[in-house]
Amino acid sequence: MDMHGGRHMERRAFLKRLLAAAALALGLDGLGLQSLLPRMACAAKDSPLVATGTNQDYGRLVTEVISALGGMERFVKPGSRVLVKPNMSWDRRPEFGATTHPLVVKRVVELCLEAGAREVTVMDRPCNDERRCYQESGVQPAVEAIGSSRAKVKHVNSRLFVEKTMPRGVALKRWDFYREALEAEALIIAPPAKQHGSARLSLGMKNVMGLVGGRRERLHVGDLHQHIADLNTVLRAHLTVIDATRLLTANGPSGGNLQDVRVLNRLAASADPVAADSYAASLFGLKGGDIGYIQHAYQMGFGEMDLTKVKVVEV
Amino acid sequence: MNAAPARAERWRWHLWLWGRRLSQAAFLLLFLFLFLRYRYQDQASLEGPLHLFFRLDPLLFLAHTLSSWEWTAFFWPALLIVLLTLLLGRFFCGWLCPLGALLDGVGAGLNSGRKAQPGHLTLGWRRIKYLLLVALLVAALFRFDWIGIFDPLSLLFRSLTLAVYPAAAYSGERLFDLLFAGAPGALVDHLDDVYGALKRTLLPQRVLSYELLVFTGTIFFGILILEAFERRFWCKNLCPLGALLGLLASWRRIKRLPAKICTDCGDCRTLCKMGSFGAGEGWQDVRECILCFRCQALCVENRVRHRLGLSSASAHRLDLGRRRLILTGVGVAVSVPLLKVDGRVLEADVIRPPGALPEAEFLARCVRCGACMKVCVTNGLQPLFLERGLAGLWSPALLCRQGYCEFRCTLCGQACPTGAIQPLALEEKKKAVIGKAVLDPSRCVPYARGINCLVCEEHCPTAPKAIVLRPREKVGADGRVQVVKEPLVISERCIGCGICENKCPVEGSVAGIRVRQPTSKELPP
Repeated sequence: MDMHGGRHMERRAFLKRLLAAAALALGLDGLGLQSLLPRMACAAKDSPLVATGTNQDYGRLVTEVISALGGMERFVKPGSRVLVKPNMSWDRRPEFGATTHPLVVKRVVELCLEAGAREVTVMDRPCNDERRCYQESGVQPAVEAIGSSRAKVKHVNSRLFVEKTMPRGVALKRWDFYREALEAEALIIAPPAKQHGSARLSLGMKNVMGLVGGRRERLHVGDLHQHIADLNTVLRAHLTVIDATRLLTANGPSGGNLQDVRVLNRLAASADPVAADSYAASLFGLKGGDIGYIQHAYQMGFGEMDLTKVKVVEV
Repeated sequence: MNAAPARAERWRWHLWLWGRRLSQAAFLLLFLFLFLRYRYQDQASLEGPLHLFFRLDPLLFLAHTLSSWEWTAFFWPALLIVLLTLLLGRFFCGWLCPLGALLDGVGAGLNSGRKAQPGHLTLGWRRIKYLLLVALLVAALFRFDWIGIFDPLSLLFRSLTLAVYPAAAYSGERLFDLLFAGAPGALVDHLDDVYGALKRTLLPQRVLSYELLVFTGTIFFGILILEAFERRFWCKNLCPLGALLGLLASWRRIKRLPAKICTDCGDCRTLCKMGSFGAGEGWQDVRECILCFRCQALCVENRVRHRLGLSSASAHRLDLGRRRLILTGVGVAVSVPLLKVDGRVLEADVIRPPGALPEAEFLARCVRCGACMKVCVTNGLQPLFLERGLAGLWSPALLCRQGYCEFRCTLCGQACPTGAIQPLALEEKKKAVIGKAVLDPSRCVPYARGINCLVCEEHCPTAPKAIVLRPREKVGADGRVQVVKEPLVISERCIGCGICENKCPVEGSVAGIRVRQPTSKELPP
């Protein structure tokens, strides 16, 4: 990794300059007022909590990090229906960091079952062939290995999308969402942390794109960042579990080159999706505000992106 | 002869009749079962004796030998069929051929309640199959390989793939549309479980659509409907495999007794679906007998027997007419070069599957069975019509707007029964260049509209990516200066999988990035 550090810094610095230029352009447009409102709303709440830690035993890592947040019981009530959304978007093996590590997903699902969930659905709407993605990412075999009839790995059924109007959406006013995600009593978003060409980083809020219908390619056209923030007005994760056991630092989001993967064995979780993403961005040496959709979500009042105002608990 | 033992013997002949029907049903079901197994089986490799039927087919064996001039152990079961045919005659057609079984089933349905008409052996129509066989073999020598187009197993597999299965799956999907629309909320989850289970087995993963669906389907249903006109019309008159097996059957060791129609009865003429008895005295042509045992089981006089002996049955000389044969051969020899010299069609962008042999060899080897198109996980492999001239009819090509080539999938090479698409190991497959992506700045969103997009870059599977981004300051339609990331193709990294073209959000059938045919001499990047 160190060998490539210089190249990355150079690109980072370059992109920062670009973003500064873009921010200046936006600033001229007079967004000053908008950004004040959510900050006031946030100030009234307790400072959000991000729990994180490292361990080579991913099962134990998940257990420890989630207990530091108050245990899965805080998010999953007995008899409730849970949707766990890992990233299984790519036909890649787990070691490439393009998909959520199967052992992380497995333990998250087990914790939900132990908390008394009636049913835990694991699903994604992949970019590659869904069967290959589910198998090759290792997630489907891992969840099936739990051997519980309450844990289900499902494919998207296109009939089960529901069109929702988005009154709080800035760029999007309506879009199709998966019914089961809308109805889930606990929505757990469990993305890997990775570089992404157009979103810069693909994290928790970006991962919500795997639960929406329609031609998602269209969401990339124009302001992807605002579109991601808008989708999160409808589907807000109750729990975000960032799988940073590996960071995919380049060639994302699909990856495919082990040289681009940095093994951290780290996990971070939060009930605040903005704080979780912002913390994950810091692992890449970036700030939450460097990522357009984190910035937008913060401004729209979804959560805290300023890590100085976030309580980060290392387990 | 005393009545009681005669009845007992009749029972035995009926067992042969039912045994034959059972065998037909079993082989047809096996064919359909294996057909359904040509799909992603939750693992990298295809499991099971998928190629069984293709391996049993002497005509495909012959086609393969003519196109490659090499012996392959793959086809040893076909040799077994050849030997058994020399011994038994056309048992393959009567007992084993899934298309024959289907035709018998359809024929029984279409003709139920109708009185069977006595059939005559007249050489007229049934000569076609021999001449067709000759024409196909001569054409194959000139590297115009259409054998697979007429081979019954290829034809059946292709028709199932391109027409029957997608149509059946469509009906299934529409049924579930109704069920999901009508189901009360509490049932939807259970219904979704049933639907999911069906999608893993009988139904395809996605709604399939194929080019040439109507064309292929019309021909196939045409062949089925001919049963209403004449039983086993295809097998009698058209099937080149039937012709080949018939020629081999000339030496069969099974003798029918009596060898001709009995003067006092003549029921055999009506019973024989193949119409294998000649006019006049009614000698049977053993090339036409498919050993269905109807004449034996249903003989009211209990006279008919089939005996396996050492001496060959006395086959009559097959007179196709020397002039006709010569005309067929010369006609094909003259017309094939005319069909093949159209240079324009070689220029047309055709993206062959990964592992495909060089074009001429590929077309010679490909038997148009459609197995690669059946197994393709994205439905991107589609049959050509005349894009490559008549020689390319029904051969597979990737239509990227329909489906891309999945980077880590190697199924089409595994599904190909003839090696026209070579099976590739995963690491080879990931490097196999099937095309090259070309940007069209007049359509590509960042170039043409000055706003961000980059869907192609996101999906590009090579590592490092063949599509990279280049930030540019652009003046948007609103006059504002904005930094837009433009995609750039690094051609030497591109393998032509077409996922960029497939996922490109540009509206309409023409994407902002397209895959063209690779050439032997690429320009420098």
